[in-house]
Amino acid sequence: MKRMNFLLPHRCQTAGWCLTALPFVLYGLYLVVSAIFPDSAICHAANVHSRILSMSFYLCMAIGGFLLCFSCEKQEDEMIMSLRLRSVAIAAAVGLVVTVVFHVYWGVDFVVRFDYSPESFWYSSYSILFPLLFPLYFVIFKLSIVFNGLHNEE
Amino acid sequence: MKNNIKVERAVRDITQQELASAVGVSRQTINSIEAGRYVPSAVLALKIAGYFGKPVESVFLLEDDD
Repeated sequence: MKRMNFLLPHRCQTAGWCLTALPFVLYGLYLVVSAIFPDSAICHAANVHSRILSMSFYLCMAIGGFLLCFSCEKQEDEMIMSLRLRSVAIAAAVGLVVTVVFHVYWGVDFVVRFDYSPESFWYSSYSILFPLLFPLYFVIFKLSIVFNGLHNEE
Repeated sequence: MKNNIKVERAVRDITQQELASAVGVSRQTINSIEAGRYVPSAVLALKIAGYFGKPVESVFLLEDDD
């Protein structure tokens, strides 16, 4: 039985891990270098181009996260597909609950203060919460794979 | 739903990996089915039963609460 597979190949997962880890490694190196050589040219350049660097780091993590979330497992069988579906459902449910809590908590505050400016947290909460659902889905999915593979009795 | 996969494997002296390779799934999937943590699709159930050369209802058995 043929299934429609919209996922990326498994090798994209390796690229995803590398891209996601790269900003953390580079930032760690920067912290070490800036602690040992505070006046070095690297630290100066990093301070001058901090905005470009942080944007590049966010972009790396976003692309890496995308590759991780949407690449298939080594053997993408029906159980993996069902775990994937369940993880999406749990992440969506958590996202819905968090959104409702944010709306109730912040919404009441903003209704009382009549503050509907685009800068307010009421609006920005959407853009903050939505991308967090992807790592949440990925963590739930990977954990469910680990827990399913724990019982290895032959 | 319970199943006799473990018994059938023991009768034929094959590992989970061999069965998994024969029906085209991962070893973890066979392991989960044996342990009752995962109920296979009709296609996979037919493949497993076909591998053992038995009708599907003799490998997979409904329980009272199913």
